Amino acid sequence: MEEFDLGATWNETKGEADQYYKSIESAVVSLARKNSKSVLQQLKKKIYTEFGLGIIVIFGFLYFIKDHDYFLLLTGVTIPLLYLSWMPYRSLLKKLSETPNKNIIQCLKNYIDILDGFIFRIKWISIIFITLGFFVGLFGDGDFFSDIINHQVSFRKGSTLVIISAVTLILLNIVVIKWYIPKVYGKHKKELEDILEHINDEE
Amino acid sequence: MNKKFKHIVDEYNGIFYKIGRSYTTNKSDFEDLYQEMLIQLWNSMRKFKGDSKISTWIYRVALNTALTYKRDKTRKPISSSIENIQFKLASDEVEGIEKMQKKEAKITLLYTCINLLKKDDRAIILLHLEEKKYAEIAEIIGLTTSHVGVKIKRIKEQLYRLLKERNYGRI
Repeated sequence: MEEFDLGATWNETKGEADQYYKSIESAVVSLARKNSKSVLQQLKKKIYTEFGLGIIVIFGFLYFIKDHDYFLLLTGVTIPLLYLSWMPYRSLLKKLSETPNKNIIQCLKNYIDILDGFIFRIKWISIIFITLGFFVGLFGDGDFFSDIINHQVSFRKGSTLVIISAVTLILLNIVVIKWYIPKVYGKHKKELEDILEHINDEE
Repeated sequence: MNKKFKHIVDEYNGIFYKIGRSYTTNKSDFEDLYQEMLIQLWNSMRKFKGDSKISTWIYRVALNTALTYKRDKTRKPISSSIENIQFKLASDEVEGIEKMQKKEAKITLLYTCINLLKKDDRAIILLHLEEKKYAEIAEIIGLTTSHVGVKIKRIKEQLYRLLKERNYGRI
């Protein structure tokens, strides 16, 4: 014997649902054709942006070396490599589009995997680009090291500068990796992991 | 495709409404989630190969959207583009006001208590209240039938306790 007849109350929502639907019925298709604002959709956009930027950088590089002797050889190697590097992105996009149709547990697992992969990639891209950018900016012209070698800057002064730069670089990376990335995606991922853990308990 | 989609939503719109109310606590979030469920259903339609019941597929898409939902503040609310939108209980002229108020209060309290449950528990109790069989709930969630049974028992106890604390029986 049920304590409350919740089914009856639940079914009475139908009136509300019908009335609400009537008020949006004429616009339902146009509402459905708008852009999704889900995290998955945001990730999809970021994947396209990431790959698009990669293409721009590679073609920029090829343009830069267009008069070089190895231009044809490098182009011949780069284009198939570019195609090969598209493969993981393609499978990720496929996984993204299939995810909402899966059962809830599978969907959550996929979602967490996708977020994990994305966070991992963005961490390494950040580390590499921040580090490269920092060193290119600081020592890019090569004068700094030649000045140390030629004793125009004392070894102590040079070492101090290198240590300060390294500490700044590490701090910058920590801010991005420990604060920014978890702030943007970590909280949502943790929430999904908690749901998944809870859904699987009691067995 | 428009026609097919419209036909599906005409028939199953109640699912979106009930899920929307179970996973949100205010009108703007409700509208945002409702629209997101419609968008996901539209995007998933081509991927649906008929390997499960259509209702199973709709519940999967809608619940997956609700469970992974993160409010987007930039989206324009549905009600700002559609006039005369209603978010209240359908009025029934035959019913007395008091009876209607009671009905409305019971529905609101039920959703309030469902909203207090964990997100995955909401999905399971919602399917149970929709009178879905354990096997179908298991198919939608991805659990075994026996596991679904254990969970439903525990969630119902929790829901009854929440309702009792809020004097549901006295309404």
